[in-house]
Amino acid sequence: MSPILQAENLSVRFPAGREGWFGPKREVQAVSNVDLSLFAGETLALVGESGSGKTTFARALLGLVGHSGGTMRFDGADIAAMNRTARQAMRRTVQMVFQDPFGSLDPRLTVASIIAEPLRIHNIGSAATRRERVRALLVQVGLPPDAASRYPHQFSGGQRQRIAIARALAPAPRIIIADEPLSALDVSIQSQILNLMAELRDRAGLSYLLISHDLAAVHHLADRVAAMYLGRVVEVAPRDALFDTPAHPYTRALLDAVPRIGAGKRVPGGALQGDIPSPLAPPPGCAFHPRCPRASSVCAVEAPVLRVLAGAHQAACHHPLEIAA
Amino acid sequence: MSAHAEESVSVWHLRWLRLKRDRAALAGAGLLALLLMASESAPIYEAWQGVSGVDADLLSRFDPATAQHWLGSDDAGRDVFARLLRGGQTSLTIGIMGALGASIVGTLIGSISGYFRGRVDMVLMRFTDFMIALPQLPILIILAALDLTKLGFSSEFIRSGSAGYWRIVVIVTLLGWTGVARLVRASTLALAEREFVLAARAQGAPAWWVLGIHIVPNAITPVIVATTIAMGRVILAESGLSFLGVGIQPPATSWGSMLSNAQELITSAPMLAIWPGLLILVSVVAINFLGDGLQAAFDPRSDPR
Repeated sequence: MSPILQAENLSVRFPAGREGWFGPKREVQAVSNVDLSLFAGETLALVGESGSGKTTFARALLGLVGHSGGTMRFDGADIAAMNRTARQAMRRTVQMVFQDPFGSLDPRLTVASIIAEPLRIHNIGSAATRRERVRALLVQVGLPPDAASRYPHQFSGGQRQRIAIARALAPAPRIIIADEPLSALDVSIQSQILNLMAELRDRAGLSYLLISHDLAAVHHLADRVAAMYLGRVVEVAPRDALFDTPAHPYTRALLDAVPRIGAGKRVPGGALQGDIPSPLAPPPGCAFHPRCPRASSVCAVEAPVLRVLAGAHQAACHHPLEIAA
Repeated sequence: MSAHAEESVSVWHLRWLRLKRDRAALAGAGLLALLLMASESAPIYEAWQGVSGVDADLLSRFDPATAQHWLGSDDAGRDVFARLLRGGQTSLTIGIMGALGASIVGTLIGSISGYFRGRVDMVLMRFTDFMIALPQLPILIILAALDLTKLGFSSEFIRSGSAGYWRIVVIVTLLGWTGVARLVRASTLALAEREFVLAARAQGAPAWWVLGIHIVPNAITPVIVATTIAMGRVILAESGLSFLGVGIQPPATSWGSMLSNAQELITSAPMLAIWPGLLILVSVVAINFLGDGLQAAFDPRSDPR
């Protein structure tokens, strides 16, 4: 099976000004040499702390930020080499749901205009068929059809996220990139949106790229999970393999950091110390080594590359934890 | 949240409903309409009363208010009321057109500058700084001295009174857009990072779409306020321009020029200054009320539900 969306060696750098007036130009390496593939019908979750480059990676895939290295392929075709028509067709197929449902809906537009916007941009249907489509989509995401004539501020956070999902569904996409779709919502609403996303995926055969630091949500929705740290993918594995036997100490620490109700003693030393280092000056060698309990002298010198440990389980670590084969 | 919002109600209809609820805005609009209509009916009043706001009558200088001269006559014996009406034609048109023109140009330049950033932004903003730094008086004198026939306008147009109007509107637009441009640029910079703009860009929406549908409508609120305030300023600026010989030339008049004429008579005939001043004040307040109402009408969040 070939992937529908693929990043090969993708890097994104941002200029970060100069040090002083005459100092050297600085750069932030937000995404470094990421190789990831999304297959048809699967849900790939991207986890990691804030600042690990998850959102930038997603935005690069959508062309919202320019990439400075590597290639992105859609259905095997290099996105950079696409003409306008092919690119617009791709944009129809790849839709995005944003984190903040209060910021992702234009407050000046009615819900109908918001949901119909992708259709209008891509010139799909007539005004009448678009109106019908909006009503159908509202029902599909669990909102009353008469929501169409109202404005975003008249809805709660959960309802707004449903509107954002309806907008993403409007042009009948194959891929939805969801950037922290739950983190701005109340806990009680999160599971509703999560179930809606699962239901839509099963019904429409969507692929999701789910960006989240909510590991419970990831466990619920994802087929495969990729962990990112400081712009690099440190581990990719099928969901159960990653949750049961993470190979990278960073993934282990992320999993250990999840508070559990009624759980016994925490694994000693499991919690991560300190903050994610500044991407302006990433540590040499393995970027994780200053915080890593298993770091040795080689970690400070040589950056580990992603290698296959067993089957589909890959990790970038000199001293991976033992995994079930 | 109202449960029975009709779906077919158009956005413009909703805006009209919101405006209709705002009594101050309606009063402002009514007052403005009244002033405009009254100004347009200056010839009717003159014919009916047998007075003139244009021709001098040196035998009736500084007449007090009578049944014939409703507000008396000025230092050249012209009927003050008729003159106020005639001045209103000029002042209101120029105030509204000039302020609108400056705001439209400013919004265009500011939003383009803030949205494209980088080199476009640098060029446009340095140009804005340049316009702000220009000494206005020499520019005005140059613009006044421009021979319009050389720019391809017919000589009838130039001799007609409207050439003076348009010259002022163009000058006010050219010199007045900078403030709005900076205002809109600042809002655009913030809006361009908002997720609803990213959502449209991720669809491959062209720049004009993003600017026209998402950015300008969300940045327009302070512009409306700035425009209404600018109208008062333009009405006053016009008198200065006319004094320099750029704009309205006698016998035509405006509130601004009536005001500056009355300056030297302020002790002997204060009413000559008070009437046009009062009308400027009233129209600026009316426009401000209307502007406030429009601003609220365009913002769905102002609904009291």
